[in-house]
Amino acid sequence: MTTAVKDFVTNTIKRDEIDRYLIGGKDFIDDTLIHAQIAAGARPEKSRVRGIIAKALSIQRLDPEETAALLNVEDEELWEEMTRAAGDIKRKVYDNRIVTFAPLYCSNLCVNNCLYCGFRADNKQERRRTLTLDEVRKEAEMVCKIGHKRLIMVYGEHPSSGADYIADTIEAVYDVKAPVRNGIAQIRRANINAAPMSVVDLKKLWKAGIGTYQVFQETYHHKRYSEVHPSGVKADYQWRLYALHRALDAGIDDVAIGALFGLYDWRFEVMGMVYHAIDLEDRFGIGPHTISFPRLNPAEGMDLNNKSPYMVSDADFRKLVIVLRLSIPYSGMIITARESAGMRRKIIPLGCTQTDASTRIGIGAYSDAAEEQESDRQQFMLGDTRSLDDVVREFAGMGLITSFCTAGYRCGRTGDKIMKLLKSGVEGKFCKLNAVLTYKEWIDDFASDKTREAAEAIIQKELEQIKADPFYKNKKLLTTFDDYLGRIINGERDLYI
Amino acid sequence: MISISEILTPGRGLKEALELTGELIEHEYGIRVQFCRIFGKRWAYFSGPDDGEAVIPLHRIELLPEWGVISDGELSGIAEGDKLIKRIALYLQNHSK
Repeated sequence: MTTAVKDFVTNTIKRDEIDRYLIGGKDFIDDTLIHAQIAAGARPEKSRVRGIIAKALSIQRLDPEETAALLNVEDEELWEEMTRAAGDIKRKVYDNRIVTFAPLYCSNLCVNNCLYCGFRADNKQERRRTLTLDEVRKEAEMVCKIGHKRLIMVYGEHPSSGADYIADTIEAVYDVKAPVRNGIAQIRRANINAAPMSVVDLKKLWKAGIGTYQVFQETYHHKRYSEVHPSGVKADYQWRLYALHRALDAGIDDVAIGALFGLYDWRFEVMGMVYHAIDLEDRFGIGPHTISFPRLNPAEGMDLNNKSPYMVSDADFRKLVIVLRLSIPYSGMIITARESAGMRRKIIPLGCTQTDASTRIGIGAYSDAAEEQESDRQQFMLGDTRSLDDVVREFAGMGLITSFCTAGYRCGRTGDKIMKLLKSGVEGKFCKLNAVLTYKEWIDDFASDKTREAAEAIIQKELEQIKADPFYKNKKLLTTFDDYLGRIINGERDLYI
Repeated sequence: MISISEILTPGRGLKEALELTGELIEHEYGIRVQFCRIFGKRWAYFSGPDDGEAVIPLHRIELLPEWGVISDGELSGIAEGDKLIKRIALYLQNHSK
């Protein structure tokens, strides 16, 4: 280990930036209590479950005891009702759209030794690299040429990819202008998945124009967390648990939670995520903007990924998505290309709001036009490598409109403001208009003939719904929308409401 | 309603001053506004109507490199609108010092 890396590991954690959030010296995850709540929720009465479903349908976040009850449902009829409610909640909050994004991996150097991760420091088979800013721009340009407007940028935890580097990469991707069929394409929102940082460092990301800041706790169970994170900065559970609290204190008002399912009991992780949302709501009035729920899958040199006693079956995966959708109804839910195409097809109707496509997760893989996955430069292996065009066409076949919208965070619909708009269903109305505008842009700039045909049919359906919805008439939005759509058809770009 | 001169005073907190300014603009001109912090492409909500409704973002004005105002009507189109915009910008500039 070099001196720079040693210093980084020693100096990164600021104890006072953990302690200030603790209550009575304890964090908000009480393992014993969660286990007790799951046990106490066993065999819930049908009427109680239906009451909980009704609460979720009114877009109120569930209490932990209510989530525990749902996790214990065994009755098939109730699962059917919960499944329907999950889809209804999603449509109520986010309408009929699914947002797409591309991951952009900037570095795979890492000081940590997470037993499940291909980037772990002790994995000698991994080819290490931190992209230069020119390489980041090139990657972003390639992503723009696919048609994506939104990135999730990913970094290992290492002194070579600290806050200054991350801020520089955010600014770099926002500068990129890629020529496409009609003019130029740009990245309009750069979300960040990076290690927990101090408030001072997080302010640098805020000033650079970060979209959402995403930190996954991986597992909320304290003991299991220690077992799978044996060394490095990440070995500190609480430094990670309060990463988003510090982000909100730094001014970043869109934050995202996640757990890596398969590290510990999936029911416990769902409860942990609910507690995380509650603590953020209680302290900041801002819950998670999105929730991610990746499942453990193979990674180069990682025994745990095949041997974990907590691997999540497809049936349980479906259940956890439904319970998460009902428990935190206002949050976006992200399913990624870790899952197979078939699995994504089954899970998306359960309330997912975002997904990726044309995904490459090797460092520099978009520029290399790497068609095959390469385990020695990836964090894990993907289950679905289909093109964005294929995925958009499939969604159209499912009746979904693919949205490339990034309007909210450029219109002041952020933080507690967007939380209220999501809960009242107002944000979903904007989602619908912006989905059509950005879908039309994408069709004209990127779609194959086959996809265009399917996508235009979806637009017609959406337009009929928009014209018939009194919200748009009452708010006098139709004239503006029609004007913007006409201008987009004539080649103008990046018009949003 | 109190006047803009009474609202934009150095002694008043920034958030309160901008909230009152928004209320005044809505009351006087029927235009709803919200003030935002600008960082890169992000226009982050800072203050605006707290009635569960969104300000329809038909117009965006950069008051300063780090401050913007979103509105559902054209502020520069109202009587002495440009003067009002400059006045708010100056207040924000002085407040940032």
